[in-house]
Amino acid sequence: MKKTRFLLFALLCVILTNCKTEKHEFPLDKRYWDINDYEKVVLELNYGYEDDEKLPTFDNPETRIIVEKLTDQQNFNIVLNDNELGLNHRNQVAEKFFNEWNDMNKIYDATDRKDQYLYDKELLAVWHFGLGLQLKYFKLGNDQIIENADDPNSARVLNNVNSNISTLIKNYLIYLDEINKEKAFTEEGKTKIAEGINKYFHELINLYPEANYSGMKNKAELMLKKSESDEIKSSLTKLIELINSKEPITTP
Amino acid sequence: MNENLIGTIILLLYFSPLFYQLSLVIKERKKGNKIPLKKFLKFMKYSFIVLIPIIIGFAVLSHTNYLDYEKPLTFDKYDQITFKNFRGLEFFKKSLYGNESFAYVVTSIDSEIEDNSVTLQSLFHPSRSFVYKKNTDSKELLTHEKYHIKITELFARKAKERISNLNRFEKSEIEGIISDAKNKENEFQKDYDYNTFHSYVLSEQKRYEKEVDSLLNLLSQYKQPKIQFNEKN
Repeated sequence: MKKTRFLLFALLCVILTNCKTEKHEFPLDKRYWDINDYEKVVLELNYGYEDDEKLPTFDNPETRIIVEKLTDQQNFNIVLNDNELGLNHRNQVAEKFFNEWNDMNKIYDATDRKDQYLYDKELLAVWHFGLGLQLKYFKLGNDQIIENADDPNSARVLNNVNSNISTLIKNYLIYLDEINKEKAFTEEGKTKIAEGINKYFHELINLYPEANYSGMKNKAELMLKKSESDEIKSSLTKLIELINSKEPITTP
Repeated sequence: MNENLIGTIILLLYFSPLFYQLSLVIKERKKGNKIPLKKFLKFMKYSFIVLIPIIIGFAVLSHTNYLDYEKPLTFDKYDQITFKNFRGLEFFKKSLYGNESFAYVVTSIDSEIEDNSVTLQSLFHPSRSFVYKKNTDSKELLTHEKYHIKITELFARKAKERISNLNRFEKSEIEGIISDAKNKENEFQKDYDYNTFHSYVLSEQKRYEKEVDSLLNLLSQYKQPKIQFNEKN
């Protein structure tokens, strides 16, 4: 009996000293999150929260830092923009970030019974993270194709490069699909959609001014007719104008 | 296994005879029997007599590994330093920002002020510097850590330059210069780790390497540790 009591007491001590106060842990004191951090954090955010548990949001001062760190583009820029690092290494890192971003898209995509996004600002921040990342990822991929080619001007190499740019443009079009669901967003969310078009789509077109944007222009025109948000309409109009300005002038 | 859990289990096992005695004291107290109390106090005394030297031993070894001691190295041995010289022990820290492949270096500016001379040199403390694995071949990690040693040397040379420019031997002023150099060195070391994020940001690492090498070259005339003041000074 004495021994049992003692063992129970010892066990209680062990349990008490190992009780964790924080249910979810994130490396918030770390200046840059690397791929290993993203793997852990994205896993935690995707599967570590209970169904009715609130995820980190920009509105919550206690958890704001988590979503800010998660969507901080410096995390990949610090590696992908570092010219001291090898092109191959940066490409590998970019690919891993891209794969993580695919998983990140699932974190904030929940909707309520009225089909409203529960976390629209966070969802769009993740989208913007991905749009910024893809600009770097595809650029690095093409740089590597050109660097490794015997003849960088050969038709095969140019084909590969152009094919990658087409894929990038197609990936960007998926963002415009969000306008189809604009009713699921709050007004603040709609503003963020427009900001994303103004920033990242303009960066894309300025980076590859000679690419074929006919599909994007067509989609933007359709969305312009469909959208009810003035801010989104304005951003689409600017996008169409930018595409038009880059189109070669044809003479009869 | 969780480190806290291991520590708790070890302490519980260590103090288990004491807990047993305590339970006897509580039980026998009602009967007025004071023998268990005396026995408990005796157990407690011996438990702490044994435990305290163990804790002190851990603390001392954690600070400087006297079991594998190597005396501090001066900067002229810089090129010979490898991770084999990192002989320190680390009992508590198991990772740096989640990275288990980490190292740290301990350096200092050593000074001696005599009647008309000052000896100032940077030192690298092998038995206080730690690397997670001595046979690691991480050149980037070694370079990063070795630049901490160069930074210490840089600030030692800066201090020697200022001392050499003094008009006369003034002990308090020299002490002030050395103290200032130590503070600035500390700040610089922190900035170096912050900006390079412990060598993760390679472009920043290379920028620091160029800057530190260039400044060390500029101050190469202050390589010698001793500054002699003559009558003219």
